[in-house]
Amino acid sequence: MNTFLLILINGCIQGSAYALMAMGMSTQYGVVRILNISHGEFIVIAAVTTYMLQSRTGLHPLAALAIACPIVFIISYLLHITIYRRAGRMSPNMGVFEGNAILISFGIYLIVQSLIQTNIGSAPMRYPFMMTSVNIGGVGFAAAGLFVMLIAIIICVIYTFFLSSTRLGKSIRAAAQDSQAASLHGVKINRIMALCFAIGGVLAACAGVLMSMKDQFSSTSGLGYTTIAIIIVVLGGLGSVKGAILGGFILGVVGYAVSHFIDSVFMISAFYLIILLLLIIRPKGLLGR
Amino acid sequence: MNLIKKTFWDATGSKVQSGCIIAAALALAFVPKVSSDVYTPLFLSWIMAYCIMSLSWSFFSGKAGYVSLATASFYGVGMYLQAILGRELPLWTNMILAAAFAFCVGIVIGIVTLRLRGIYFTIFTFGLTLFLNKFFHWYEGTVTRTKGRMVKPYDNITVFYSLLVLFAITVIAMLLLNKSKFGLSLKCIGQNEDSAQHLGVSTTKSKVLAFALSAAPVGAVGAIMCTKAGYIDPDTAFGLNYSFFPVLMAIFGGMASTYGPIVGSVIFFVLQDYLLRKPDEIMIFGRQIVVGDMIIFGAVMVIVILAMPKGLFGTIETLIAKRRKRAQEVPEDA
Amino acid sequence: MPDYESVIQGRGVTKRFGGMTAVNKVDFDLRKGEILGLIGPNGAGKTTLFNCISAYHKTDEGEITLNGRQINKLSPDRICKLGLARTFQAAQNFPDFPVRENVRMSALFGKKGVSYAEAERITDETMRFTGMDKFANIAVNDMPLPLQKRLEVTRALATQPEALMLDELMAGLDPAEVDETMSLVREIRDSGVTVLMIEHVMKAIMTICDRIIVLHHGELIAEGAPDEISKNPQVIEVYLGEEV
Repeated sequence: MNTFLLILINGCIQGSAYALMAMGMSTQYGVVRILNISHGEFIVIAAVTTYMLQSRTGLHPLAALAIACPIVFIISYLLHITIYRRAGRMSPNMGVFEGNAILISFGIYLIVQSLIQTNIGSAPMRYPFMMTSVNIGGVGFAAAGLFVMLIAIIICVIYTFFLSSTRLGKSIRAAAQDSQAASLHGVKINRIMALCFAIGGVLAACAGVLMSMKDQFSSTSGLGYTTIAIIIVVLGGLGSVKGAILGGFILGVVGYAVSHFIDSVFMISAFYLIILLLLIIRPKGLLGR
Repeated sequence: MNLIKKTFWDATGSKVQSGCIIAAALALAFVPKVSSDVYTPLFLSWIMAYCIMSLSWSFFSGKAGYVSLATASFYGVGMYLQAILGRELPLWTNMILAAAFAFCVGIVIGIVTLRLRGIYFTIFTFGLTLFLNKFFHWYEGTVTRTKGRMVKPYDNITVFYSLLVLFAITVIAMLLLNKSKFGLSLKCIGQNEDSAQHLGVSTTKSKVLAFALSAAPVGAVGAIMCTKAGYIDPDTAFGLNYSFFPVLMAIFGGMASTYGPIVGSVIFFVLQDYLLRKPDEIMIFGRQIVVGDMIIFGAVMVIVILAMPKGLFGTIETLIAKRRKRAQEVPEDA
Repeated sequence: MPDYESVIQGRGVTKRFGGMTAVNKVDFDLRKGEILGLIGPNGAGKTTLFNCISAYHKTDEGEITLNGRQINKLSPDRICKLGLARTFQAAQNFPDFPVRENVRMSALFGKKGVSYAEAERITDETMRFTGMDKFANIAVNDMPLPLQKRLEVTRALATQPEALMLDELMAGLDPAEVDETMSLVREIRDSGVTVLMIEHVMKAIMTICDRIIVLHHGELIAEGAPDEISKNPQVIEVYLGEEV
């Protein structure tokens, strides 16, 4: 029973962070059709910002959201209107654009990764945050982890509410369904696309800030985050935000269980196995249309 | 002999072209005899290795329109095969074995994945490389209790000639296949798969076979280049760069022609080598470029995709075609 | 024993998408040498039925045979090689190839073991037949709609089919172009190819079809000669307000 609780809660803590990472990527792919290999780098940028801010000023790490989110939003927005939009205009059809977008995002990954690494080195980073432990049902859990999970769930709820109930959210969903039809109905499609790409970036930034509170990271962690996000997005169904949240929690629990019972080295392999099987059995993912 | 001659003529199309190819091959073959620099053959070997990989990639992905990121998987499979069998068997058997093995892996992956269209296929192949990387990490760590493995080294000249032979075979095979019904069926699939299938193209058969065929030379390249690494571990064998660079080289050169990926690989490798040498004047072939230079590399990657959708060779070809057309339009009695 | 010979025969053909039944237990016969019209209001399941026959969709229930051989479990390329070709509502061509190359691909792959020389001959013949030979070297996407549709037919014909399925060949054409297309369809039939066509242009379907079948909500509601169909009360009700 204790083991069960341990795996469930720790898995959900990990899963909530995964869900945040995947939600951003899901938004970017679902609406803008960019499978963003550089996604993880924006998570790292936010994590590094938090680390710097925390170690220099001692402010609460959550304050970093106020800095990291606007920075990443602006970078992502600019990336879309300068580079991806041009790629979209050049590509004769969606398939070609998706292929090109992956390659472009790999190029951007190389640039951003290299910039971070040459500037701050690749030493692992960690700062102390809520070092106490909380007792639930006789098992001790890191307070930082529970705090992260709480904030992550709040962000997930706010974001799904934003998509389902606000005017902007509705036009985003319309654009995801059918961009041509949406543009006929007066949705300014170019602006929506850039905005969605930037929102995806902001979600990555949130994930980065929260990740840094509970885990050690380094300037080379980005690709790892990206691959986990891709796995979750495929698991939940490409472009489905709810699928991303569900997939995130599933992978969190599975990952923690695997590293608890077998070995943490095996965790990522288990993820790939799940995803390879899923792509064969049900390519559209758990909640895919 | 006559048959070989005829096939070669068929493949290359014109005497000028085949003459150029033979001349280039001969010139390459004599480089190690002429050059006193021991590194020149190795330098050319790497160029040929990338040529073969980007040619193979463009043979399947360029034509059929499925962006495969599995090149590194096949490369790594070849590397590990050589690393494991290198002490018992000579290089050329391992080349053939690696090619055959990569072909079989390609068939299996092909059958499993080619139902997947577009982005799903790309994600699957991307994940495959990472999966194999982690799998070998686990294998090394828990089964053999090693981190990587030492490889029996071969001298630069042997490596050079092995690659030259492989390169020649690949180029001729690609040229022949391009003109075959099989090559045409791939081009049809790339343009409109549904339409192709409804007009009688057996799309599944073509795709699986082409994917496997494009894997074979990459496996062989892996087996050869492994001998120059000295020591390999899962990260050197299944590095993502081996998946992305051939793609970039092929796009940079242009995929409409067989020569595009070759031109792209040459220019790109020279650029990579220059970026590598510039900061500290040290030759570290094949190893990942010094980090800072990745910025330029990434920028080049983005610019190439945005600015040259047809690739260098494609752009030049259109220019030549335009000029030729203009020349024809001039009346002869003028 | 019926007094006709069926090329394609469907028995109880059913196709569902999720909970919706798009085609429900439809029986039909395409008789050798006829032009059979398939009509029905929008969303009646006409194109879905086409897609089931050409194996673009998997049929959920029922059986479709081509010359007595079951085809609803085969892949589209096998069906094409067995002698059944189709066109799509929106032209589906190879955009990088000029017109002639598009047709040549059909000739080359449409039947098993066609040699290059044969393919050239078939291409030339088919293009002359449909009048596309004047446009051999044009880029396909530069062509106006009527020509694109004609190319679509030419490509299907180049696979040397026994039966041809035409999906809304005349949609979007002006009256003169409709007349031209009608005579083309007749010529195709006269050359020995059986035709099954979906059409919304009533004038065309009533003039050239030998028989008509009517689908409504995925079910077959009427079958017969054009004049019978135009008097059928159920059909009139379905097309309420429209002149049949």
